[in-house]
Amino acid sequence: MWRMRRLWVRRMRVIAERGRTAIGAGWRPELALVIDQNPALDFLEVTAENIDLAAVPAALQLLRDRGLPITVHGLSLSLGGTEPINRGRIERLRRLAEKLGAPLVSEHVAFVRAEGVEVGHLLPVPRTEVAMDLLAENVGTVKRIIGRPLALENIATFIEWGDGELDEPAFFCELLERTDSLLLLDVSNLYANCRNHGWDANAYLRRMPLHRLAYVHIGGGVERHGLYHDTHAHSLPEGALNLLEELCAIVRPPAVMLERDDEIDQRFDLALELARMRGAIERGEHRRNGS
Amino acid sequence: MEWLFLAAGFLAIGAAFVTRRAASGRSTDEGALRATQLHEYEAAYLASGAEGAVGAAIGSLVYRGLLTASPSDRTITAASAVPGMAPVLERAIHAAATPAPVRVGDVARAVSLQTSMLKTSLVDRGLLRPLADRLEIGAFAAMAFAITFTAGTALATLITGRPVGNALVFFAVGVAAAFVATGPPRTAAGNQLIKMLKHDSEPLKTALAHSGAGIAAGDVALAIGLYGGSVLESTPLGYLVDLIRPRRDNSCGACGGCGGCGCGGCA
Repeated sequence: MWRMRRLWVRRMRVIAERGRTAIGAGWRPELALVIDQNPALDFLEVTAENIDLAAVPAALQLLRDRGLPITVHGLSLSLGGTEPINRGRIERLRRLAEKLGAPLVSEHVAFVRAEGVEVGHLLPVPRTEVAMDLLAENVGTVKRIIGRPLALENIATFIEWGDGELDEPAFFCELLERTDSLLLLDVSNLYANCRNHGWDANAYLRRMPLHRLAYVHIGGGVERHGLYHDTHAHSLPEGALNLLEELCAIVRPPAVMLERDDEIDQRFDLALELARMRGAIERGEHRRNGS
Repeated sequence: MEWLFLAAGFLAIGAAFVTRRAASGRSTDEGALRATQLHEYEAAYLASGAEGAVGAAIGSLVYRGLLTASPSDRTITAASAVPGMAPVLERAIHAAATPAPVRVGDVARAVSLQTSMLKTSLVDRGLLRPLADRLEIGAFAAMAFAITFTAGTALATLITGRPVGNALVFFAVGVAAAFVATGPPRTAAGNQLIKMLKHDSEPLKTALAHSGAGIAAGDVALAIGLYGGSVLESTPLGYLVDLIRPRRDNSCGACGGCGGCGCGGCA
């Protein structure tokens, strides 16, 4: 496990060389120009389902040729599903990771289909031992095929299954331990769950397996009808930034990444959002160092 | 033994091509080229000639709301004042479209002085070839054709014992064609610079196609200049595609087979 994490850290070069948290962004075609022009970015993440394997965008290839590490993020493996995992999807993920030289692949602890029906949304897995066994088996299959470190991400939910035997930190601790996987912590998803389910964010952070932390996601959201939606289409909320600060006060994340998927137009200021992210990281670091 | 005459003809064509290529020069040091600073409209002219530069400027002006375009009657009209600091080509196009609409086809003629300034700048920097150089290359190619064909047909005549006959017509046509074709308008450095610019501008092309973030008016001009008006196809400016696309049917003849044909500038 530590060997895998070291591999990831090495690929993040900046972390090892400058001793700071690497800053990244999710690559989207709409962001191609601002990402290309932003020298502050240390790595990128692509959503596997949005990239055509046969025609990887030249703009992305250009960044890869410049040596920017690119991680691959999956949405549709449905790791928590009860159906056998689709090997074609894993194979596609593997090929994309290979094509981009990805040091890491990540997926969600969720399911997206059942009995052939695609939900089109990440749904929560019941936190039971049965679900844990299924997840662990699926994660093991994925790891064997992709042959690269796999990071698992917490999702934002509107509902909770009633028969949960474990809470999320305990569930992640056991899952990551059993599968020897890494943690992709989405602080915005955590923020959403704290808002929607009344979770205690600080207690959550302190109980998560942060020693397995590979990187962090943060994205914007908005409240509608009394529920917080993690939209990736709005500017970063202070609450999520505060959670990022809190996390950085506990541990130094190897990398933090901005997720922005929609409402990317001339008004969107990537540099500003990255600066806000960096600010939260630095405030957390100061607290951690006692300065 | 007609094939011997045919072989001589193909050999001569090959010799003309090789000579033309050799006389066109070799690639330049990439580092030196990277230091070359080109304005968007210079890049557009280098990539696709005068019509490319005019199309790029129209696209940029429409993007900023300084011009309105009517694709149905292929006209543009000034919408609001152009800033005093704007490039001369933009100001000239804007002036041509003020106060009444002007046909896009007429704009290129109205701003020919400004586009010729772009050309001069590119020639001076060794990125476009002056006409004399192009003619010289054409002359070399014609000579190579003539010598090779003469030697080939003479040899064929000796072997077959038949008179040259129709080969004389082929000779005359071949020499004339090799000469008229002249050298390519772009120098090797110009070609290499365009290749580099296109490669480096892929993120711009991608972002523009998705109406993404961070696109300035100069970026729109550069993208149109390098990749043509079709780069706007899926953007809100998609209606401009046909308007600013150089018309291949008649533009080539206007400047000796270059501007608008994707071969970079007229000389």
